[in-house]
Amino acid sequence: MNRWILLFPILLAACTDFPRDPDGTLDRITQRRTMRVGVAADGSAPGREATSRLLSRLSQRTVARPEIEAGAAEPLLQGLEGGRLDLVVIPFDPKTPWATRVSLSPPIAVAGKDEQRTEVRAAMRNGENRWIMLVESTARAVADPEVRE
Amino acid sequence: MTALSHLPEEVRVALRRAERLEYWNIFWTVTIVAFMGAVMGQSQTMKTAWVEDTLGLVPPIAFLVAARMERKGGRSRRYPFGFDRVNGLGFFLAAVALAATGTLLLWDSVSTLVSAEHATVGSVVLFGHEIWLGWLMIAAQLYSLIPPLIIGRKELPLSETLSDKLLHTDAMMNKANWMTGAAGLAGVIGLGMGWWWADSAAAAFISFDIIHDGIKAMRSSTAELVDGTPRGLSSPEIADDAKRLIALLSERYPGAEIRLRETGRLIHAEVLGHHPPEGSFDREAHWKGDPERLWRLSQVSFVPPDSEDEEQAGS
Repeated sequence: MNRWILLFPILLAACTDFPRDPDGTLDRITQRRTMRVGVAADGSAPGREATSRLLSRLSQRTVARPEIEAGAAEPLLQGLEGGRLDLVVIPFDPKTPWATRVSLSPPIAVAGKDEQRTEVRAAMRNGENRWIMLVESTARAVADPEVRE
Repeated sequence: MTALSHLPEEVRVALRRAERLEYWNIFWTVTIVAFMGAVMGQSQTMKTAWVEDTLGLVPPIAFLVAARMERKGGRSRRYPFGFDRVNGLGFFLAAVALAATGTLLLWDSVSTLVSAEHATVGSVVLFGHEIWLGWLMIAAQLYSLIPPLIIGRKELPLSETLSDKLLHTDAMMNKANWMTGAAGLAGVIGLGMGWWWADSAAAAFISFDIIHDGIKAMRSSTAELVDGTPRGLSSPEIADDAKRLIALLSERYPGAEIRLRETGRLIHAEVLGHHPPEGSFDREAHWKGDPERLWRLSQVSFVPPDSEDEEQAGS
């Protein structure tokens, strides 16, 4: 037990750049200077301004330009799960079943009310915690004032 | 007249201490369950640790119910043998909870490893600052280590004084909880380092130890419920004092069949095929172990041989 107690500060010292991405998403984005982003193909989808602000701020923070792929929600999210995309920014139903399959940022814009309500959120691959933290933090900063948590 | 009335003062004092300890155990476990619940997020390992800590409430509650019935429940027309065996029932429940904890941990960790599930641990805003939720999880896991480590160590000597397998199983449950906490801690640090498999691998490794303890306790508790010969405190093998008692009774009553069973912390002996000794019964002469543990021998019953058997033996 005593050895574990001694080991603990050493482990904590190694934690300065916590958390890291298991698949290195953020490292890849900063090295290649591009992030692969999926957005809704429907030009009338809500939250376009907030999406632009999010991508612009992420570009500044990572020094990477967004490589946009427009499409339907399901193929984009499947592409995210499979590692073809780094980020998908689309409107979600508040009770979306994708909430467990991918990681969702706080909402950056909302549209509609009650049963018709949709929330524009950024989705990331599960477990890429450093990248997820960066997107979450940026989403909080650029969200429309009425949806800031 | 309750089951406790026949026990020596030191055993009654130890029982009161154990009850106080179990109230503290419940209090600290509830605070751990609340803290873990507040920070568990989407982490499956944290959820499992939370379920295990909640299951950890079963043995102390069972112990307190059993101790209360032992202390207050007298013999009645509906319960002519009193409530000595409530402790045995609680022991079985605690053993099932311990085995379930280990099985749950193994199932969760193996399924996470097989499905290569990557746990997301994002950020939270706390007092206006964004921090990684993993730091709060590490704090919760560290906190969850301390109470079971201290309480479990205090329970072990009391369980020996009281010959209380339920309390001993609770000490094992506390050991399971702090070991799971340590695995969870390693797991969250592993997640932070980008090793998605670290927590599941550590948890699977530890689950075997917990399942082993749970199965041992289930074997002993089942033996008690079906009137098996008394088992050791931490082993499903026959207890040493029971072995000594069988040897002594066999020597004193040759040809008789000796049967022992255990109700909670007490031993009952049956001498089949032999008449009881003449005059008053000398209990001390029927106990070969530590004289201070004589209270363990609750009853010695004699079942005389059938008259036909006696006639055959005489002719």
